[in-house]
Amino acid sequence: MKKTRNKTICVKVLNKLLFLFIASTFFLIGCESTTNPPPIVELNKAVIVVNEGGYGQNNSSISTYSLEDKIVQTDVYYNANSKKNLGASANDIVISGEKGFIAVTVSNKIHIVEMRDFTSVDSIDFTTFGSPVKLVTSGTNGYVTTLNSLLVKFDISSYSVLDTISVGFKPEGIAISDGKIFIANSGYGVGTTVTVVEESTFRIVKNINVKLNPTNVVSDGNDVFVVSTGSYSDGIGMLTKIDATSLNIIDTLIISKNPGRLALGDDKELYVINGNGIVHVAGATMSIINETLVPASDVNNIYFSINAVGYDRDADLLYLGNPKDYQQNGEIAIYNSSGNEEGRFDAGISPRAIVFKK
Amino acid sequence: MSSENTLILFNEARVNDLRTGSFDFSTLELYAIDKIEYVKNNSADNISAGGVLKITSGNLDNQNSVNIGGMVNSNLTQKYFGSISYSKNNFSFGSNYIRSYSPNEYNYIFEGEKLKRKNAQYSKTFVNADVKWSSTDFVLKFYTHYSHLSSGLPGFVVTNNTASSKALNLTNSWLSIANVNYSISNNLVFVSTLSYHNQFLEMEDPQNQLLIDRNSQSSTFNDLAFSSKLTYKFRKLNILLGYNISDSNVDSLTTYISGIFSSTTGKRTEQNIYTSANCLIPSKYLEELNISAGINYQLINEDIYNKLEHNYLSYKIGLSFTPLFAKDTEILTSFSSNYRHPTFNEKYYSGFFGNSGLKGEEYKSLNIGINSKFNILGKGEIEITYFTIWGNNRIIWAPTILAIQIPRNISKIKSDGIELRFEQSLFHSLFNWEILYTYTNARNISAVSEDDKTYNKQIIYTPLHRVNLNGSLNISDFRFSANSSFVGKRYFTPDNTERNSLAPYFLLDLSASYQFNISTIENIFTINIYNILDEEYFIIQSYPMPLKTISINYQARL
Repeated sequence: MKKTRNKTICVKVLNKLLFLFIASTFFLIGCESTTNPPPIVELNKAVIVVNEGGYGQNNSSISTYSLEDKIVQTDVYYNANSKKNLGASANDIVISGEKGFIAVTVSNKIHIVEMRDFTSVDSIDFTTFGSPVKLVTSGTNGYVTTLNSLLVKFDISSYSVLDTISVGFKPEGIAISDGKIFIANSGYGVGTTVTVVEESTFRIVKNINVKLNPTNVVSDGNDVFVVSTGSYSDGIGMLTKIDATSLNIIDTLIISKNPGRLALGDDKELYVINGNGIVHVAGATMSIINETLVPASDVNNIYFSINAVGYDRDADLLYLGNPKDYQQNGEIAIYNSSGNEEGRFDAGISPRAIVFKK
Repeated sequence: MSSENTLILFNEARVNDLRTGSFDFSTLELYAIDKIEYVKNNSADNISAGGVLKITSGNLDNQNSVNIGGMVNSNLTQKYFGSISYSKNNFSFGSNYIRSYSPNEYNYIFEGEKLKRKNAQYSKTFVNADVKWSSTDFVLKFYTHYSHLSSGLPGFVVTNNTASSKALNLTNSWLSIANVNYSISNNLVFVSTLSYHNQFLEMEDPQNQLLIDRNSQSSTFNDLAFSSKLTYKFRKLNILLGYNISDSNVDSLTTYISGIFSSTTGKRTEQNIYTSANCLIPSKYLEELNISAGINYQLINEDIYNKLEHNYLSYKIGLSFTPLFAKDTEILTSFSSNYRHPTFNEKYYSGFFGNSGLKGEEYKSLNIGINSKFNILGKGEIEITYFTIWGNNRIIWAPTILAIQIPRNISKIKSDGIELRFEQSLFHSLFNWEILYTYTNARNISAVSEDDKTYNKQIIYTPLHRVNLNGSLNISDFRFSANSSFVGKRYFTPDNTERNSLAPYFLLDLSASYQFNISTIENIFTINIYNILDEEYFIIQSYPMPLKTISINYQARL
């Protein structure tokens, strides 16, 4: 009898515990965070970082670093626009006046933002033109490469698409010089051409053969520098210098370990990312100044890779994107031109493009 | 623990796929399955860190019947099936035919907008047959199935891109299994299984979204496996000795997966020799004391790009007892050491990143549990288990600079938690209910450097809390059931930032069925409502799950 009563008490206690447990379960469901985003500190002179996010994870973001008071802001677009997502795989940004144009590749959009606080102004839907990759502006026009193998011309005031033209397979890098647009057709590793489009007529004037896998291009005056990443099996890439007027190849320079993104410095100096770190190149003489100005392992001691590079001419500083393991939030490492570290600040997942608002 | 760690036995044959390490359940049909049993931790004859899933198909109960039926649901899914089961004397036979197809454009909510899922359509045909001859000491069984599945690959859903994939997948799968079960004497039983699994996969990618340099790619997988085991029982001692070998190959492996590189055929031969024993030991102080132990020697020979040989010795020990003062209570503890070799997809996914050096996962796990039966208002059972797992070289898929995900090792993880299960059958089975709760604290305990913010953070997609609460009410010919589940917050990045977390969700499914006879025909009519609360939820980031779905089922049995 006593045993039965004990059992009954046990069951009652157990039932009460279960009730509390189920009630707490529903309580937990209702406990979603409702934290308001922090107010955006308006930007004057700043480093702008576009973070790609995880592939297909819809978590691209913008980080900023004020050059005056060193304030770091993360997830700026999300916080400035009522927790609205920037999208998936943001790859590039270009600043034109007070506006910024952000290419969000997988979300098929170019977002137009106010550069002072990153509030959204408008967006251009690229669903019919293909995913936008990299962009430039010139006068009243913007130009963007898309993964539908198109070059798309748009109006930077009305935010409307003006024209399109087919270029090479999977174009990526883009630059303008001497009234011509230079497009690096990477072909996702199998391309070998740079397409040249005349701005005024928006017609192709030449396809220039370069080393395998051209991915990035910058211009300085009449010189156009194309980086071919090369084969992923031997890693041998190349820097090709093209004269923008004659469209002839002036010189080439072999760079090992799959060179990729690059930043333009003073006097046609170039800072090129490769598998070892930052290669410092004299673009004027097409020679290597320093094979490894900054070792990748100094920037990123997890996967030893650098994902983005920007050069601040005024301060003579390099800003290098450290993606860590491409899964967690990354950071930006600041180096001087001698290759010494000056500091770091937090960024989002996979920092991909670094520009300067001055 | 990921699904690759779970050993899957289909009619005793090991069917874990060489490519994925798991089994493609989409090629199966639940209707054709007689029994599914999950053995947590390690079964008597297999050592597996993720437990063992045993699937049995083929007129298990020696029935004589003909079944036909169909199902339609609110996503315009249609399914029709027919089966026949025949049994006489020592012989039995069974066969099922199932046809289903659906546009599967289910509703979901993304960024506040109600949308329809794109490219999720499928068309499937499944047919199986089995024959069995059995006597008191001998069973000979043959089973075979063929499955044809054509489906869209829906892809991820992100801002302004809700149709990220237009790719199509075709899978033709053929699985045949022969079993022999012979009782040599009252104490000695011999079991042997021979299986052959062939799978043809083809992907169509008209827009080169997944395959970079072509529009379609196919791959064929073959696996021939043989296993034998001998069980000896002597009084309160059971001894088992077993051996299995599987020879697998898959062609166009890297091409199919990475979409970049040329075809290569991969081969792997895996052999396991294992023995285990358990013994009931009489004790003055305990009602029952059971001690068990086992070892498994695994030898793997691989040939893809280069030859590799790997061996590992797994082991397990266990102890369970029932105290004299609580004869319905059992206290259990076990400790095991396990290894999982990387799958072909993991190891050779992408040659240029050199992940052929990927290491296999190693686990050591400890379980301590108590299980108690009671009878108050009805039969019930409560089970509480504490578990802790130390993992080494856990494999995760990480994004890279080229937006391709490749597998990486996390050197060390530690997972511990509690599982609670309570079930009760009340009023002579009029009402049955159960609750399952799992608390899992699974953390990365290796930091590559001080900059690594993933140290001591919860492993991605692993919630701290998970609850299932289920109940069923049986009144005459009516049956009502409710199944609910709560899954707590999960992170999808390893540094556990709030921005990259998935909200908790609560799902409630309801079901009502009515059984009635017309002449000699038994009819069952069922209505199911899944996610009746229209919960917006993600299991994986960027893959939104369906809102409410209603299905109507009818089955007639002759």
